[in-house]
Amino acid sequence: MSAPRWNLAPSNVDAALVEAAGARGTGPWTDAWRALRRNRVASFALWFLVGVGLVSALAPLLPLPSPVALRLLDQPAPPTPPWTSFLEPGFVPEYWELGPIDRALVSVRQSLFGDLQTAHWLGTDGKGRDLLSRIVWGSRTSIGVAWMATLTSLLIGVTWGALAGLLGGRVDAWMMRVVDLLYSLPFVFLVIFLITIVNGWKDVLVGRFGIDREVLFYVSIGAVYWLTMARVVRGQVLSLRRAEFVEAARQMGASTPRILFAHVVPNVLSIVIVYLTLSIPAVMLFESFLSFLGLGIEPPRVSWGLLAVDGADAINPLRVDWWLVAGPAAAMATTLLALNVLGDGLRDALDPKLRARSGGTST
Amino acid sequence: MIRFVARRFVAFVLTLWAVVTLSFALMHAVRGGPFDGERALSPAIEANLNARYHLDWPLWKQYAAYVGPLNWDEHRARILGGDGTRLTGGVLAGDLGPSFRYRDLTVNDVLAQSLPISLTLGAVALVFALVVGLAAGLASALWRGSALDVSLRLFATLGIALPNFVIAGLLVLTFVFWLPWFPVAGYGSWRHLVLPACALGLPFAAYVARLTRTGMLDALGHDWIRTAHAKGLPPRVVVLRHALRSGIVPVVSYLGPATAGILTGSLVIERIFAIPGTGSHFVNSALNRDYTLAMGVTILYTTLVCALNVLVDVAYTWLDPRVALEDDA
Amino acid sequence: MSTQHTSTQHTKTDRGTGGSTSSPVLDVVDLRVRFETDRGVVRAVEGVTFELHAGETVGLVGESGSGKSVTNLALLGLLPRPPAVVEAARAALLGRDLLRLSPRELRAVRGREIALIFQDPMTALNPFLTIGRQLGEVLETHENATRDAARSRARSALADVGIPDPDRIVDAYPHEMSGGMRQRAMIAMALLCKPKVLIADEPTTALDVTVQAQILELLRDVQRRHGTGIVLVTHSLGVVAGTCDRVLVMYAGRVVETASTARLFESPLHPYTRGLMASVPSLTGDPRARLASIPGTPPDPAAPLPGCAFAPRCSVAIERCGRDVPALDRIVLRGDEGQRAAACFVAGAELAGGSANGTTTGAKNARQDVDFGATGAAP
Repeated sequence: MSAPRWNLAPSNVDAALVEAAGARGTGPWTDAWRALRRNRVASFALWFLVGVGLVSALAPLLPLPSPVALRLLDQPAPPTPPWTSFLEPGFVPEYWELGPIDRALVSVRQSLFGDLQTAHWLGTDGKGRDLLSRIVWGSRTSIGVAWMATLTSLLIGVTWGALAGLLGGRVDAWMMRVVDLLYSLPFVFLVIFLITIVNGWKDVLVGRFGIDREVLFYVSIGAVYWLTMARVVRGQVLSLRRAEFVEAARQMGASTPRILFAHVVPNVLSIVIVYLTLSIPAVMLFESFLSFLGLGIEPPRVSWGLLAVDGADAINPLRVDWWLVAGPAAAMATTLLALNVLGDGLRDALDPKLRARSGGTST
Repeated sequence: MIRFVARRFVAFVLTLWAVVTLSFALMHAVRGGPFDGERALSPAIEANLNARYHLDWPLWKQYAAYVGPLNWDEHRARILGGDGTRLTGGVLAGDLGPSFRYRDLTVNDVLAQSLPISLTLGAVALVFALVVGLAAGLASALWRGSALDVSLRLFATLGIALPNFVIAGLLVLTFVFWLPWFPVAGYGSWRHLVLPACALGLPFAAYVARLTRTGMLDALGHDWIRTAHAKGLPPRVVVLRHALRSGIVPVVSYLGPATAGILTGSLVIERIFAIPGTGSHFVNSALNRDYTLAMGVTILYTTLVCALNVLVDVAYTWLDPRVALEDDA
Repeated sequence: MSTQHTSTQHTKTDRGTGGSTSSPVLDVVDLRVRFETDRGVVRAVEGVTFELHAGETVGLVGESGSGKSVTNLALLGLLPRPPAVVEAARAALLGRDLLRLSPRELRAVRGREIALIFQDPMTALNPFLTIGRQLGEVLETHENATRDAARSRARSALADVGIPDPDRIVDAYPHEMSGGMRQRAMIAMALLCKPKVLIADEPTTALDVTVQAQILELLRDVQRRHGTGIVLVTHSLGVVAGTCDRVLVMYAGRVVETASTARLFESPLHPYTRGLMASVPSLTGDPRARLASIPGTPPDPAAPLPGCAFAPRCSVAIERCGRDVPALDRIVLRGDEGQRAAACFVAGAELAGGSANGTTTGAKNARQDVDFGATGAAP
């Protein structure tokens, strides 16, 4: 830094401005990204999740056995590690109904690998289905459910919360009262009711409106989780409205849309991102809970929840097929752990107060 | 104080009414009745059953009968030309109606039998969650960054990441098959409660541990902690007397959702461990369209959670002298 | 920088340097504090030296970031280490080296022999405990008092500092009291064990002006009665003028000037001190004159520059200032009594009548050449 010689004359505003312009600051997003990168565990979690996402998306392309091909006479087989047997023939292209992209990927896979499929690295279950394949294909359903449900809750919650916060006054009070009321309802029970209804009306809905049972599933979960999001967003919007920097911007003549997009939205966005990352695990667990009760995903589709249920069933005094528990449990645990770690890391990175406390001192 | 309780009571009544109405509506929105699943009944018997349980009444009448102003047979209110021995019944009088599934019992009977079991299980699980969670969180906060802290946090995150039936399965694997310490299922002695309570409470213990850790770290960063150290107080006193009060506030806030979560979790755990509690009744009743039982359980659980929330709010004022008993806007 | 135009009749301009013949109660030589963070090393305090005698008040003046609070926290071991690293040639309380005490011994010193008062009594007091409890526990810890005995002593301590209705306050919570009363309670708490040294870290900054005067009066009173040595940390020159015998001016973690209060206000030597004095708005000057300020900002403690830390902002800086760090040299002025020191090549040289690096600048002229703008030197 050069050392300009100031004279001790009365404040030289122009000179100060020149000095200030030269200083290069960083925006909150750059700061946050950097803080996140410095958090090694959270960065690792992020890359891990990216990896999981990739594998999940490319599942039809991978040389995995079919997740649904039944061999009812087989006993569950313990895992054969990849170094014992890497690939083996016998691939049968059996799936549930796939979309066009997936079908294309499957045909690419067939031309690439032909008859070969991976050996049963994680073992098989009581119906002869390969566990690894079911875990990979199950991830698609679980992640899909989690995403859709979270997005639904996001849409409803953010809209509700932002409106309440922005409109303020009595409208805000009433909107929040609704949230409070809904919050105290035992939602799980109502969701169970809802899903039983959906079961009852399945033919009508699918036939008349073409709505998949899964879509209703996502929507009903999302409809349960939007409440917290609404509360959080409303709180943030309220505090932002009164925030000094918004007032300062207004004083300097910024228009309302500008204030909204340049100031309010980025701040709300950060807290929404954190909650997104933290509510995905909750939704996945909820899906497994419902699957356990028989109200979740239906075979032949597979989800981690269903796998976990199969695994739990496999624990009995007669034979302990430990791999049926270990595989799905490990998959779920690592992914949810990564999501939680990432969410925590994001929250730490995006919260300026937390960062200031960790490094500095005041004199 | 009175005003606070009164206001909360009104909110509770409103909530309860909403729950009853909503579940009633949902239940009746499904086609079919509670007797559909049985072996084919002759039309005469079916008509009889329907009449007995007033399933042939119009919906609004069924609703009113359930909630209170109208009533079941013997004690019909004077309005409808009954003998008028009771002015009202239904939910308002604490009568949750007869069970469709268990023909000779009323819902009240079924609940009276199963509720104490579930409550015991839930209470044990909650206490377990609090004790383990607080201890772990405190240790994590005090020895922050140590190997102990890291491993505790790892276990805590695992506890949150696994569904409780998987945890139950792993517990059974370890403590029933490998180390035969506990019975696998059923209900009878205290031994039967240990594993279910653990499985039920572990995810919440994990969450409490996290909350305690963050809460204590926050609390230890306050200026008055620095003053306490500057006064020469021993570290134990600083933590337990000065930091703990504000550090456990997030845990107290969490008690409401934790109880609700434990009640929900019990649906699964009771099934796994074959415990004859209310939770297992609920799932069956929802699936079998045993209206009254399902609604009865829902009403009960709502009451429990609301009551606990009120207690939590009162606890706040005791914890933090700056907080007054008021409903905030 | 702020100033108080309270009419302080008790200016300590003529008390000189206090009991310089008796041995000091607090003797600090070359105290250095750095923080080793993952973002680099932050040097907060670099070589602070001072002495405190019984019955004397020493002021520590500086802006935020100058290291004044860190100095005091470091002495009492209240900085978390790591990341703090505290070193000193000497940091002795009545001959005992504070930095080499075991944690237990240090705890016995804190609150009993050295007491600390903090800036904001609202956050410095625990809102969950009653005042009586917070005062009482000091006695329970240091003098093994019983709960009841501690409580009644707390009550009389509250009365001693002028709190009305002490019986009610003993059972009250901090949020039920006014700011001034809270600060009095803090002072009462600090004095319970009759410490030899009282360190007051900006005790009046969070209070309004009228209450400030009362608190300062209280501190003076305490000193008169108990002979306590007081270290008063502040950024306000007005407070300094009214209460301190001697002043240490800090900048960027170093002491740049020390003098008795009277001499400091009469003739500040270091350019920074002069700038501070000049930036005090005057009640009697031209109301339309622009406010003077020292241009620039204090240096980043994580990235120190070579040479004098003040050089980039200094109007009389010479080439040497960018290279070497000036030491805090004794300066004896004609007709002066007591000790003065300033860490400045220019100030030292010109007053010695010579030059810092060969160029001659007339000693008398040098002082008047510096342009301070519209206001004069002293408030």
